[in-house]
Amino acid sequence: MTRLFSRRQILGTVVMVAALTWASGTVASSLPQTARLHAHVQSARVVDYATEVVVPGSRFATRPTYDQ
Amino acid sequence: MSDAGLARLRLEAAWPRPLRQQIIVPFLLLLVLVAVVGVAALTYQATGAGLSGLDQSLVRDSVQANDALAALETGRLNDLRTLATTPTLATAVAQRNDTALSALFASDIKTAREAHVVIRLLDGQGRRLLSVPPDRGRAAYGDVPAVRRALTGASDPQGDKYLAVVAENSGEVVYWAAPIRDVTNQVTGAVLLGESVRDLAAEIGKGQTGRLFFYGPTGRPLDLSAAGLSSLNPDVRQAVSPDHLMRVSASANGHAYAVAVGDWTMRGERLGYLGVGVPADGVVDNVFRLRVVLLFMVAGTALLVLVVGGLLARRITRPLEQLVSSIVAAGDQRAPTGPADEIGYLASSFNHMTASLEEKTKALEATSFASVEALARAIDARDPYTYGHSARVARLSFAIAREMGLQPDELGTLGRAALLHDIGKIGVADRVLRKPGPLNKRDLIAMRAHPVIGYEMLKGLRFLESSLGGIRHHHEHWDGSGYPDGLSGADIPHEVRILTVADALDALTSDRPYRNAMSFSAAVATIEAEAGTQFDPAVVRAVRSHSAAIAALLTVMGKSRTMPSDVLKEPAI
Repeated sequence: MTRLFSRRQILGTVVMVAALTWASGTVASSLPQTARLHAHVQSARVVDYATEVVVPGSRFATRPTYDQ
Repeated sequence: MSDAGLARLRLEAAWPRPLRQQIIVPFLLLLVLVAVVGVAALTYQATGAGLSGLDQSLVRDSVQANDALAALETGRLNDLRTLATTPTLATAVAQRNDTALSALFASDIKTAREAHVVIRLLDGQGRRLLSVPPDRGRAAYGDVPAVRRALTGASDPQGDKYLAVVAENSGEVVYWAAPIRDVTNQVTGAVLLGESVRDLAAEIGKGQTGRLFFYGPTGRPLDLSAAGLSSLNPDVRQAVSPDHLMRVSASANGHAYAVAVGDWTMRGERLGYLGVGVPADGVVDNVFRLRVVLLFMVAGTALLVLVVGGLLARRITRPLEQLVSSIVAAGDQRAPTGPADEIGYLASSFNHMTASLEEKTKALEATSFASVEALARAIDARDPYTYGHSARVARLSFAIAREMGLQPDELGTLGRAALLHDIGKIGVADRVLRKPGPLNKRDLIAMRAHPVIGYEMLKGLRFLESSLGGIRHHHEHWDGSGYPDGLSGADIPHEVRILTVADALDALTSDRPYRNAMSFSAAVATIEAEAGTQFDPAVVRAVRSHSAAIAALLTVMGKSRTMPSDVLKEPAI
């Protein structure tokens, strides 16, 4: 009666199957995942570029003038 | 059966893949396929499910990030207006008075550093006059469209202040640009307030759990500190709208993120894309643990397939191997009765077939031998003086051989040779064979050819192959003086030496045309006299030691002690 597989063959086969399985998981986990999210995220605050009004509180407001 | 026997049979039968392997390997390949595809699908789904758990957080952080961006934009614009309306600035810029400009902004260096911004004062051509704090940025900004518009004093519905993203040596910088006007409202230069994308992301991201990623219009990451961050693919860019974010998976600096990508809009223009990333290391860890569990499950299943499958396959194929073994094993052509299934039925059928073949083979051999034996008897019958000679020689040979301890298969060989040893006389003419007088030289040559004739006749019959030596060499002498090959001593096969003595014993105790039959004791004495010359001394000793039984055998076989008187006158051969 001859043995079907040696221990080395069994171990090698199991390791190979495990390696293929792990590799497939690695590839799958690195695939890009995208999903569309419905949300209106643009700020409702209006940034007024046109106004010339300087609002108090600027960090550069305490500067002396040249001719002072 | 030995392993070597099975191995030889496998080689002969071109049997490189045992049946057991053919049973197990497909299941193993199927397992690999299911494992690879299944684990990939589960991993992908688990990753997606884990990331989707972050969606609420992503949306919330995105709203906060956009609000923070708007607040920052408002603050920077206010700073820009403050800078642009600095008294006497227009004059100093128009005069390109570096000393005056340095004095004007000396107190802003510290503030600018703390705010991570840079102030650049440009002359009317866009050349840099002053940087606060001092750095080694570009020497001129006239090629930037937004700056050029500010320098020309152009205005649109958003006013005369503009925004641009400029590539500097240190990375991408967002600049707010405003014209510097003198008392006559003429533009003498421009002031830029810049903040790097990296600092912009850091400032907006303050107080948030995630991290901000700025992308350009082509989807290229603008923040170089996010090492390894991938560009946005076109599908994602096209799917982004004011009402829709796209959640993508990304990694930066070795960490995984779920990133909600939306428009990056400032001053009413889309500058690129703003991504709000939430750390997804927890998701990655969970998926990793799932993969480890799956890995052990698959490896264990593979081991089970090999071991259990091997045992099951062995149970199926073992009866087949035993069947093959029984074919290979010498003298055993019966397969062991297997289980009550197809293989057992095959073994039973094989046994029936083997029995039938054995029976037919034996019948065929018996028929063939009977035919040849009948032929030999016919030869004996051609000469009344040798009638029954072959049968008697056979029985005498048996008696001597038993005394000498020959094995059963050697006895069989000897018996067949004894019965057929003179069959070659069929090729000797009756004139010579039945010649009553002495044979001349030519007749002797013809007579002495009968061993070779018999050998040539029967050498094609396989079942007589072992007996051919007795037929060819039964006239060889111990000292090498016999014919046809002049063999001597041990070169003459053992059973042939017995046959030679038995042949002589029957001849001496038989009547001949030229003499009466000798008494048994005289015949034995004559043979003993030739021991060592014509006969093997060992065989002669066996005859002597077994002489009583042999004499009784000759009597049973009805040997005549007298010969017809008319024959006595004939000369000897």
